[in-house]
Amino acid sequence: MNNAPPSLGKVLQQLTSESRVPPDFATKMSATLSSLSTPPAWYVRMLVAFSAWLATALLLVFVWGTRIVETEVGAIIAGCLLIITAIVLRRHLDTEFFRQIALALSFTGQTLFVFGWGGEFGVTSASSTAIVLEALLVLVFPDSLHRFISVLLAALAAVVLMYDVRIPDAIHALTAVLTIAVVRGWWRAHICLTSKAANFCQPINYGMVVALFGVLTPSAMFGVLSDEITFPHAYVSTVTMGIALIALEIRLFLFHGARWKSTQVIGTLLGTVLFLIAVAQAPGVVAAIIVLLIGVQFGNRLLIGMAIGFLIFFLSAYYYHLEISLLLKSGSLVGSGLLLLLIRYSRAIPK
Amino acid sequence: MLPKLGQQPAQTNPLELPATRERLQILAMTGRLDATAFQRAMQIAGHIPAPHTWHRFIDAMLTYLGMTLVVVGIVFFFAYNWTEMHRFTKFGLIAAAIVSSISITALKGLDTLTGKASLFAAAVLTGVLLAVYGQAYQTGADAYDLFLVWAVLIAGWVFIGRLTALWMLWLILINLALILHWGEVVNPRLGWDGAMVSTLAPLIWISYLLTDASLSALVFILNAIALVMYEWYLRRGIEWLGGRWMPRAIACLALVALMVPTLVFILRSPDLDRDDTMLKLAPLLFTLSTTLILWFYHTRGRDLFIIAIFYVGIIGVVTAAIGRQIGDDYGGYSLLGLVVIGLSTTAAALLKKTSQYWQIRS
Repeated sequence: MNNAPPSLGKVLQQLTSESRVPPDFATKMSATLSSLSTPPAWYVRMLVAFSAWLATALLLVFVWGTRIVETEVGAIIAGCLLIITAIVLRRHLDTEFFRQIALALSFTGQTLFVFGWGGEFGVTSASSTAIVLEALLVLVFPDSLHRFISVLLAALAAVVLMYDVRIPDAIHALTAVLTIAVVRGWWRAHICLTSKAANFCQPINYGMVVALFGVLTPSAMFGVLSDEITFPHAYVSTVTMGIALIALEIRLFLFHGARWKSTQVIGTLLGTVLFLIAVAQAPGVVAAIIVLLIGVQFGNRLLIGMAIGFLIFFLSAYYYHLEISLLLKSGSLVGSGLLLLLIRYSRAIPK
Repeated sequence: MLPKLGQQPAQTNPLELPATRERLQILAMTGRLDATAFQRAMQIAGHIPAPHTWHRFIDAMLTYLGMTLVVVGIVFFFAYNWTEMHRFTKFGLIAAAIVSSISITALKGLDTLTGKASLFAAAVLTGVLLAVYGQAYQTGADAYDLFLVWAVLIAGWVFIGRLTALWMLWLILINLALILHWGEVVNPRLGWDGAMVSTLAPLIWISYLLTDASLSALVFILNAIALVMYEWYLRRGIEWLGGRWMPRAIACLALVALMVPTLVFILRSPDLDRDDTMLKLAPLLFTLSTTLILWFYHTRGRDLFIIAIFYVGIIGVVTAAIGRQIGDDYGGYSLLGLVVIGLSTTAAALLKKTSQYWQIRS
């Protein structure tokens, strides 16, 4: 990764010399670039998200404290009205203040709607409805932060649904879907960003990464959070994510023109398989590596930071996993670590 | 002097701006670049790494990840407290691991990736050795002793290591030693329930200890000194200090130490802590320190992340103060929600203007 990228002018000049853009492209861009503003940094968006959630909490205290909504049906109706108001507001008043009000109203509305629905029809119905609601909101609520959070809420609703209908093994299907979405979404981001769906790519892709990390968290804290929240047969998720990791490595080799049958490629793939066996009970490690590789390939420091942060969190939380003894965990971690060091120092990586 | 935030950015030639990932992405999203041209532009700008960069990354990843997993595995192994294993065997194993790590550092040198990773591993393993010592002899020493002795023992490596991660580990150890010393010796509050929380949820326990305003003032001073020293040495051109993650992490620690007692002061019951002078001073310390830090990072340090987290702190404190006044009048919470949104809108606008102002100045 480059610390100091060249100027836009130089990049556009190079594209022109390779006939990838028209000859007068750089000159035209000079005029239009001044009118384009770069999006705010991720931590500015996090500040906005924090405030929106705080405002949501305060609005919910207001609704609860003043008892203006007292029945489940009332909560459903009030929730729908708030969501619709939020969508209308967001679509028609495009200032930062109203954007944030729309976010807070929408989240308040969603909370009222889902809890009202849950009280009236049960948790299974509420979580299924929440998935549909979030999918709809991704489409109709034109805000990247809202789309990002909708992806997370949909994943959360899916997890609640699985535990509620008592098929915790279905979590592996969810991790598989999220892993495929992460790898495919980021690998094809350059196509998505230049299509009509450009505004959906980034929030959904980031949302999928955080959702994957969130879904895998119980695999490290098995039995700690609650007896209900389990992650049985964690190795199944390791296998599905391992396949995705190998597919990603192959794509990376092909992208960078590595020869298929070279000892380095075969060595790396074999090393990956051995590594997957060693960390079979810790799928979070595999997820972190997948996101790390994607982050490096696309020069995305935020993804790299997220992957490292999640790895540190996962390994710390893994200590508390009650189903596996510390001795077994220790053996698996030392074994996988030594394997990586062996690969590093045996030079079994492409040169 | 504070920047003139109302000033508009100068009309510099946009083609001279660095081709950041975000700028290229905007060109793609607004239809100026097609998918192939966008991907090629990312390659030219160096955002998609060339094969040799990948090799460097893979080397680093395998070394750091491999070392991390081994060290964490060793920690887990000794936490298992295998009773069949004699304590001398345990000491021998850890000592051998420390000697091996240091030998690798000595052989490879402090400027190499392997040397740095090995030194860091040795520093962590020193803590494991101390923990196993306490486990074997049941010394009855307080937990803060472990962190303090650990910090003292690795101090030499920290000073010669030229590694920010090692400095961060050292700072965390000193923070823990100070906080636990306060909680165990100066102002012990560890009942049976506290003992359980401190074991199962150490972060919650530490946050609880920070509600003591005198302790949090000390923690703030410690981290503020670390922050000032970091920025001072960075300006003196110490190359290995590059990267902003460490000052940002220290700033987060400092903010927590400022906020916790301030929130306690605002939300406390009126009949509690009447004589706690430090608690009464907490809002003043918060105001003065926040102003100073914001001034420094606006005008000198130029770190938008640190400014943003302190804005979050201000929003939190102002919200708590107004919330306290509202009390049980639930109708007021809808207005408070609007106030929060107003504050964060202002903060986001200020951050944008600050960024533009820096662009003008650079």
